[in-house]
This record gives sequence, C-alpha cells and structure tokens, in this order.
Amino acid sequence: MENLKIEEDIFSLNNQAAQKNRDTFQQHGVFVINIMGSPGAGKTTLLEHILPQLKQSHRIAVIEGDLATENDACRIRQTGVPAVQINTGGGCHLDATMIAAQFSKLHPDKLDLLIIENVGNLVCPISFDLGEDLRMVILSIPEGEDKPLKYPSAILGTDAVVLTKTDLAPFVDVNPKTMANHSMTIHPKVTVLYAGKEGNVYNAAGVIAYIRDKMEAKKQSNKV
Amino acid sequence: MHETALMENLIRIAEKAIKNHPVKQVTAIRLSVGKLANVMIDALEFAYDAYPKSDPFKGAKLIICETPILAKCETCGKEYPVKQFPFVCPVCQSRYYTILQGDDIYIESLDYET
Repeated sequence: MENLKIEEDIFSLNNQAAQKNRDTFQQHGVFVINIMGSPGAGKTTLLEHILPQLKQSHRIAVIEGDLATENDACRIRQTGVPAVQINTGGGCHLDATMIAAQFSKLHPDKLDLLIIENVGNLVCPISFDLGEDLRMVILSIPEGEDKPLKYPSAILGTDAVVLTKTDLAPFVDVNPKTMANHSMTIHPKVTVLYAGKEGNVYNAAGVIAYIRDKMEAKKQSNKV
Repeated sequence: MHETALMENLIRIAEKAIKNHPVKQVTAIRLSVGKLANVMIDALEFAYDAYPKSDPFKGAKLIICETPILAKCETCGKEYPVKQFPFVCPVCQSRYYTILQGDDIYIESLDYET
C-alpha cells in the first residue's frame, strides 16, 4: 500500500478561480464588494438606498444571486444601476466561476464598482471567495441580539457587519448595541455599521461613507 | 453546508493528484476538517457514502480527522488552543487574534494499491 500526499484545500478549485477574478478586477480597476446575509435581512433594500448616492461618483454594476426570480435585479435596475441576475436553481451560494461568467457581460472598462449580492444564507457563501475586495454581512435587528453568536463563521469571515431595520428595535426588544458587541466578541476587528428608517427617511450614511473610504484606501495603496 | 458539492471537489482534486501515479485502487482518502470549518462531519460522511464513485475510487474509505482550533495572539504572539468564543489570549488577555488552524478542510493524502 502506498500513500500519496495531497495537502490541498477542498476549496482550492474555487480559490484558483477567485484569484483569476481578483487579477481581472485589478486589471480593469474595479472595486468589488460581496454582500451576504440571511434571507430577508434587507440586502436589496440597503442597495436600493445606497446606490442612488454612490452612482453619482462611481460607475456601478450589480450581480444579483437568488435561487429563483429576477425580482432583485429588477429592483436594482429601478435605481438606474445595471444589474444581472444569477439564478442558482438549488445552489445556496455564488462561486467564483459564476461571477467570472457574468463579469464579462458588464462592460468592465466602464466600471469602478461591482457589488455582488449573494444568495441569502449565513453559512455557505462565507466559504466561497469570489475575488472580492470587501465583504459585508447584513443582519437585521429582528433576527435577535445573539444572531452573531449563532453564526460565528459569518462574522469571522467578513470585514463589516451591517445591522439593518434599526427602527424596529423597540418593537422586537432588541438592543442594537448588544448585537454589535456580540459581533465584536466573535471578531474584535469587525466594523459594525447601521442602517434603518429615521422617520420616513432610510439612513445608510455610515455604509456609504465606509464603502467610499475603502475604495479610496485601495486607490491609494495601488498608487504606492 | 452543501456537503455533496464538497464531495465533488474532493474527487476532482483526488483524480488530479493520482494522474501520474500507478494507482490500481484507492483504499482510503484522508481529510482533515477544522472545528471552525462550517461543516458537520456526519453529513460529510453521509455525502461521501452517497456520492457515486467510479474506479479507482470505488470502495475507498473516507478517514476524517478533526482539527482543533489554534489561534495566535496579535498582541503578544502567543499561540493558544481555543474551544469557544470569545478567544482570549491566556498570557495578555488580548482579544485580537488570527486563526492558525481549524477553519478549513484539507485533503491530506490518499492510500492506494498498485
């Protein structure tokens, strides 16, 4: 009997495809954000409210991922930002190969920012590098204060957590600060941001500022 | 987690690995699964058994070893094992860490007969 050493990550095929994506995005000067979160956390709603402002200073496209329907891509297009929809059938996450296939359809030379809204799922998408620059996980206040503790891999695997539907906090007896603290218990360096209605106005100013800062930081580091 | 899809990856990687080797029959595939890897070992074993395998993988056993979590303190450099959150350095109490081990799934090796 012989033993053959392999020593390879089970995700190596996707990781290689993701690195190819990373190189392609870099070549075209496109900053890429992978947005993940529970189904119904408010990912698409967040995008509907930040895109109108962001598109004033950046050329943006969105890749939407869902099991079925074009609904989310349609909602994004209403903001004036082009969007393509991936329907995974039963697939619970997007992978690097799917993104590569869509990116070529998006006029990469006319883009500064690509936002990928992943399939609603707090488990699987985290394991799949898409070649992104930045990851954001969206959790909504009604999901409960201890949500971050229940899904530690999602919190560990992200750069920022966005707590949405902050206006519902009093109705569901959730303290957003506690949810933020639980996120930092898992991942002390994670950035926690908030989004929600104040009166009739959806406030996601913190999210917009964070994205702008990250894009600027990358631009500066590319110059060095 | 979609353990069945992982089995497809596993077999593809194993097939690539044995390409230039005189493999008549693979008898075992050794996998190490980190405790933070987001998979259930039972589900992996079930998915492996259910996954249709052709020669030389038919009949190969899947041997899974669970990898404990090892963190490295970003403040003082101490490496320490962890079992649950929060991860706190036993030397300086810092909560800033990087994971050295335990958050991935590695195909370590396979056994075969020539």
